[in-house]
Amino acid sequence: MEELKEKLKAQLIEQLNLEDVEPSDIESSEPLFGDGLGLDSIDALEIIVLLEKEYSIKIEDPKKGKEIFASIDTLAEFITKNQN
Amino acid sequence: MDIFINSISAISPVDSFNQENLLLQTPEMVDGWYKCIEPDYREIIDPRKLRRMSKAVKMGVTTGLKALNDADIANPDAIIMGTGIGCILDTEKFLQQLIDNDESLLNPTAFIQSTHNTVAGQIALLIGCNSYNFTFTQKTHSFESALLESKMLMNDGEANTVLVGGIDETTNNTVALMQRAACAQSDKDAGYVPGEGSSFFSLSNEKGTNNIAKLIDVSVKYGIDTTKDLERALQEFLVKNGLEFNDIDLLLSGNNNSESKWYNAVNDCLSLEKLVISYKDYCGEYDTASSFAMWLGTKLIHEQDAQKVLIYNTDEGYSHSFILLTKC
Repeated sequence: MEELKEKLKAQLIEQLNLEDVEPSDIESSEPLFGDGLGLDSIDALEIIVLLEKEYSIKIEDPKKGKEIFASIDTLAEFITKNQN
Repeated sequence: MDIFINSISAISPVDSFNQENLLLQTPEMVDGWYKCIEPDYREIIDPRKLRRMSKAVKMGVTTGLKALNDADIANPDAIIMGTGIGCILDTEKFLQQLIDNDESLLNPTAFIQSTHNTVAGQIALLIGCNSYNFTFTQKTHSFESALLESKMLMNDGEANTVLVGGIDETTNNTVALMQRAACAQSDKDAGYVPGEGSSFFSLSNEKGTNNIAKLIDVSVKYGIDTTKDLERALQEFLVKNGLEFNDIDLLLSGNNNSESKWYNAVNDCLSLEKLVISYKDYCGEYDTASSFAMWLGTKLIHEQDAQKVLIYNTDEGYSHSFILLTKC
């Protein structure tokens, strides 16, 4: 799980073009949206594409997005549960 | 109505952004074209906002904000822009993703940023400007159209201050396509060199101590078949503004190293004794290169002895544009 979290941090930095941010700067439990990393709705779309492209996971219920994308911890947990 | 230029800002291949005083040097050609010398954007734009901006957006926002700042205008009555090919880098990214991902799983950012009006929209978002916002895209006369619109808005009393600019970015793919179509050369003496740039201007209809030049008139002519017709059109343009050929003391010519009867005709009208600068020697050829010429003309009026400057540009005779600037 820790390895997946580190990989996710690196992927988010690259995909969302987070300038001057290193994987070590992101706390796994900190909120990705709002106060934490400060991501927004366009970033949420980018993460949906990333999940489908890199992990072949489709989010069937968009209402659950908020819960799934809350932090690196919740994202990693969701991937682990849903990956074949 | 008099229209004054209160500030100018440009990012171009000649390091125009940080220049206190005008210093024109021949740009370095990289990959067969003139690339802009860009400032460190992180010193100007919030890095969190910078991450989604492509080169064109960064250049446009930076020059637009600087022009507003230098004119001490927090919120203009209008933001009007001209661009020929828009945010081509993000368009290429988006199209490449379409191919690579077999038309599925497309990242939204490149698509959102690829539209032509991204730059004017981003400037408005950053300064919280809800006023008139428009982007013209009419090939080589996109900037002239933006200027005409600015002039009309001010003449009609709908705006007192306008931020107007011209911007185009170039990519290696664009240059390769132009070379394949044999309309650009990497050898400067054999044809024209592609370029890019962003130039913005704060316009005002109020006379004041911060006026640096006057925008007298702008005109775009179509359907000119002969050089005689062009001479007549130029004469009419000058007479309309109370001038004759001999009154112009500097011609900024869009001649791009090609033997053009049109540019030669305008040179001949104004006589060879007049100073002629081929401005595309410094910025390269791109659809809104005349905005760089307006930056250069304003600089020469403000910092040197130029009194009446004429900017002439044509796209191989399809259309012709004149921009007239004078000292205040």
